[in-house]
Amino acid sequence: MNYTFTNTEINNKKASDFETKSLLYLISRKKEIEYITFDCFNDVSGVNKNHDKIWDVQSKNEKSLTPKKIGKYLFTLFDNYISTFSFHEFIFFSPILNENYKINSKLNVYNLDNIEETTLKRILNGLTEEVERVKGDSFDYSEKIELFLRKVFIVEDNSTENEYIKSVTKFKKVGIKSDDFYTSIFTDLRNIQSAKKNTYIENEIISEIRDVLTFNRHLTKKDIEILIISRIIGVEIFNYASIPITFFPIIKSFDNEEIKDILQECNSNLSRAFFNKNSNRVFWNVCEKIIIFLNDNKSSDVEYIYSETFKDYTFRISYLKDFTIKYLISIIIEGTK
Amino acid sequence: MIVKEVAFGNLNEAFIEKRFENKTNIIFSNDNNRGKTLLMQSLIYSIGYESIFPNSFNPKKYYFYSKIEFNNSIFEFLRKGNSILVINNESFNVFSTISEFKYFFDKEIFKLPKIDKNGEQKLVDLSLFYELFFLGQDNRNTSNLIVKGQNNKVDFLNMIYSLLGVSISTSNKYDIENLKKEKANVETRIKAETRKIKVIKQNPQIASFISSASNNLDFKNTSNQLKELHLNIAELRKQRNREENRKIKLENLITELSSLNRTLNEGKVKCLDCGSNKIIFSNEDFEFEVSNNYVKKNIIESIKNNISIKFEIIDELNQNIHREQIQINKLLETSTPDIKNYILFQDEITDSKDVDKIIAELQKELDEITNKIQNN
Repeated sequence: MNYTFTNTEINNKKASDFETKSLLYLISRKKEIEYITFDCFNDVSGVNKNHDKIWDVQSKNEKSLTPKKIGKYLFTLFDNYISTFSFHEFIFFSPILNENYKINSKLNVYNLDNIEETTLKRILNGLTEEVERVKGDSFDYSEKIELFLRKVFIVEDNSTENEYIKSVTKFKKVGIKSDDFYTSIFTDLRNIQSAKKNTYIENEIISEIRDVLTFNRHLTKKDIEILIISRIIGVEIFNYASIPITFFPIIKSFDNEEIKDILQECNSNLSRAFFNKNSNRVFWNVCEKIIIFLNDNKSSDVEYIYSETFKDYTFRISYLKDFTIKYLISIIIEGTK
Repeated sequence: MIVKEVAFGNLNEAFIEKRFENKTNIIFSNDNNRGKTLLMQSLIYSIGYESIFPNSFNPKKYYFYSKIEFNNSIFEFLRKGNSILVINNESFNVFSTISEFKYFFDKEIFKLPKIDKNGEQKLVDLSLFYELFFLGQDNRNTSNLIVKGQNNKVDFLNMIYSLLGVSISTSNKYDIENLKKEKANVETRIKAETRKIKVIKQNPQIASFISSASNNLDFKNTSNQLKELHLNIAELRKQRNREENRKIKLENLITELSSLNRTLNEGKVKCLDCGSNKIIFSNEDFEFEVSNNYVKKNIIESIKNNISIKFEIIDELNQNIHREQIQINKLLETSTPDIKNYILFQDEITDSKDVDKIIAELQKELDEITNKIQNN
């Protein structure tokens, strides 16, 4: 006799996947965004460095959205529109909408000017109804709704999870041919995102945008980049048959056999770093420092980068220093070229 | 594969050919002995083919260079002896054995087909692979077009099948019992031959058959050649030992990483609300993991791959050592055996050299059968 699992929470994964896609969309398309918050201002929101602009995203992974429903789901975005914080953009992230709703159905990112008359009316109705339901009818919001609807953007999801990941960083991924790799990264991100939401902030109050950081429900763009880059490096360990050109000056004084030994040592040490949880934080910091330095300084001189980046740094992990770090720097330079 | 340039030579003499174009090229000369064949042989030698140069040409004295375009990517090759240097865009590789180069070729230039050899699926040798489009002229004998190396016609056919995606499962359904019987058989024969060596060693007169050359005429010449051969063997041994060393380090690394991985699973923590075991302890800073299971699995696989490449390299080095040792044995052959003793023991053994060879072949057979048993 068999048992079939029914009445499980099937929507959980669908919704989480979609939120991760919105996160990746924001990171890759809106260059000003420094960090992304989850389930704070909205499903997903991006904030810039100066904490004075918010990109607000409502993501709804429903198959056939009716105009009325779209209007209803726009409520949270509208609520933020009329709040005191300066929201910069309002985005409704959804699966590809019914083409009858759209004037030009080839577009995937558009504002409501691309919506058919009748559909637009129904959206307006849906939103107005929802506003009345939640806020009561003591105040007439129709003018604000009008203005809001002119600012809203619809972004349709038309890429695979893997493509979203690939669009985040241009770090070279030459050797990686498997989709499973990107799927594993996507899953990692989604899990982190879900874990972040496991706190209670309902009814909490903040007076400035930057105060949202205290709830620790955010991920910085840098963290996401490093997460992806570290995995790309990890998957390439021991696959490097070649000596990275930038690493060559470091080892050219050694003879052939010693060079081979050094390279094997470096790769071995890096594998240890990828396997040992105790060195995880240190390794993360090291990668972060290198990437940040390279972002600001276009240098290919590994010795220089090494001495500048780790000037006042004491290496505490035995297998993460000297040659191994310089080798890591070379790999990262090669990847970011 | 578009050939752009070919060159070979050394400090004293060299030849460079740059006139190739992306069309049909015809190399001709109005007389013999101008080097047309040498040019073609040099081209293919520079990318890993065996040495099929005529006896009058000593490849060990020269460097061989070629510039070839594969799939819109330009590669430059420089070979001396068995070392090859490859430059492509901005990556730069040094290989001291043809096996290493072969794996690089398979990974970065063109995916090589695999054939069944000695009971397991292995990448074809470059020498075999190049015969798809290159017909060498073995020792100036045009009737000897296919170089007789370690591969035969069957290997060639199997390679073509492999290229076209037809899998050859010639030896998939082995009868384990038969294989085990065969294995026991071969082991017995090895024991028998080993006993023969014992007999030889017990009789010094026969052992003296394999004594140093005593002829005074070319003694000096012989001793110089011996010296060189011994040096070569010592170098090869050094190289082989270093590769052994590296292989062992890699094997130890896998054990180390596996144990590191295991400790991660101790003390599982579960979330009270949702039951997920994806918990990461957070204080002020949120801690991210630098890798996931996919990455870790990949790392282990890459290391294992490297280890098997090392096996092949060590094998190649051993074969090279063996080749030099054969040269030594040839030099050491004496032609004045003690006739009486020879006749006495002729029935049991002829020459310990042959016994060595027989044992080596039997050992190979044994390895092949063991492999088949394992892979079944």
